[in-house]
Amino acid sequence: MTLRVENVSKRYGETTVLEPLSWSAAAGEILAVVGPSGSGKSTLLHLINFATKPTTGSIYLDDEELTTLGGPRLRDARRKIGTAFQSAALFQRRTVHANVSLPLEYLGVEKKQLVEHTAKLVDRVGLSDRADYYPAQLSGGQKQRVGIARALALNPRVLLADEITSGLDPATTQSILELIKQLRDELELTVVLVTHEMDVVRQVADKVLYLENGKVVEYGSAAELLRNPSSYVGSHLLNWGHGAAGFAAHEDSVGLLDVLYVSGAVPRNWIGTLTTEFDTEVELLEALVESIRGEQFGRARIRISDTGKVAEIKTFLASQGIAVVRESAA
Amino acid sequence: MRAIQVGISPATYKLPDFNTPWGQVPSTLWTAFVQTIEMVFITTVIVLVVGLVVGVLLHNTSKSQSALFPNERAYLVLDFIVNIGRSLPFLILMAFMIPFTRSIVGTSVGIKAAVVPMAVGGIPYFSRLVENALRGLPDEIVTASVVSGASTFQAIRTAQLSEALPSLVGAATIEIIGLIEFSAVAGAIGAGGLGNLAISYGYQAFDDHIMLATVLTLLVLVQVVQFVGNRIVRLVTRP
Repeated sequence: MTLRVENVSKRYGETTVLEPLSWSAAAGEILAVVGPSGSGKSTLLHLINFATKPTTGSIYLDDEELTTLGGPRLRDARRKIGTAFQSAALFQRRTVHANVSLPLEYLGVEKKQLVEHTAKLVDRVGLSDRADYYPAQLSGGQKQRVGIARALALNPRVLLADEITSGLDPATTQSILELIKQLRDELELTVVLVTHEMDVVRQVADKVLYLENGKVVEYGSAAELLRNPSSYVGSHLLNWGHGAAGFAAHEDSVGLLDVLYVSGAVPRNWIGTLTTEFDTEVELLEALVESIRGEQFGRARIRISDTGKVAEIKTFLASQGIAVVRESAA
Repeated sequence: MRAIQVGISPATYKLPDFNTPWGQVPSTLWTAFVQTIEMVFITTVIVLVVGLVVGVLLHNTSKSQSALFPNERAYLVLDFIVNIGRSLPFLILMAFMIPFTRSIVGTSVGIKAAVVPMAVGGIPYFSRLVENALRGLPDEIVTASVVSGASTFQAIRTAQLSEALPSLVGAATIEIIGLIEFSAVAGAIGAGGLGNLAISYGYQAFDDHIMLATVLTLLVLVQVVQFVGNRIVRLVTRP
């Protein structure tokens, strides 16, 4: 189902926590909500799972408006949205099984069915052998798996994940993200993933919403942002955040170009081609190729000796699908 | 002339023995002990039930992140009432309440009459203990239950009371011991029980045997309650 947020904002008294914002995430999509702490990420999440009401705007699940619902219909709508929490928020006095079955218990599902369904969920997150353990006996990653299984208990169409990898080591983070991707694929889930870790975004996000001080700074598909040379998210995903400083070091020289390309789409020998086609020396000062979600993104800084040919070369690069991100003053 | 010695020389006078013979102590003590247990038991039932409800209301109307139905005005009223109950020393509360007690149970002496002020004194205390236990739970637990589709009542039952059970049992233990103390004070103004025994025999009639036996009984009683309480806490605590 498509989750659509339109002009939603949140104010507490005089303080605006979220400026009006709009976005959507379709079934099978993972939307990463990124931003520093205090940027309004958590507030946004609370709005979607109805922990708080928006000051303005509407939230739709497909074509049903959720913001106006109340009472039992609101509870029905809530069941379409599962939430996994940062701390996993597990009940300490309940076993893994009993934690996962909670939503079914609330719904009044008949005992036998509840046990069967819960066992399936526990198995799905790979914890069958831990079903009778208590949360205190689990590792951080296992706790998160329980939280995710519980979020999925009522077969929701949307999964909200609030910083579920924070505090986990890289290998565990990876495995949790793999699980999320797998669930997304198998269950056609719409996933909203709140995180402050760019690594997480790099690994799973189809779409990114970047918030700062309650405002949307960037919003778009990850591929789009990666290709956009001026994107803050894109450059951070490429570990390219500090590029500008490096560029300044070469400022005295002329003919510098920073380029960005998707390597599958670009001839491998593009630098060699430049040298021969334009009969000029091309120095490669820096280069980095990163694989992000199956695509090879390259960036490079080159210097062209014959500065008269920079304009021509730029046209050529553009025709090859290589974007010039920056160039030194001629 | 020799001075006539009047009075009794302190060296030779022997205090008369007011003590109950040891052989009769157990039976006297037993009657009082049963009265105390009866008083404490009845009051405990009332206090735990009412105090639990008031404590749950206190927590859930408060400003706490995990309050299910925050309501500033309701909280202020409850908070104020509970504080009144907590501000008077029990002896004074009991004396002050005599007209009220009489209007409720028709008498101001005896076990029935003791139960009323004991409950009135105990409920606010236990409510606070309950409020405290609920406040000590992580906020996300309640949020998790609500977003999992729990009704308010289900959230209270599963995310608050059940999760806080070990603390609640601990609180009940403290409360019962408090009520044993109340019962001793109540005994002093005519409710019977161990308190009455200690005052009217031990203190007013210089009966050291009874005094000693009463004190020992109270000591053992409190130790047993605490021991059993700790055991139950351990039983309901999960790893």
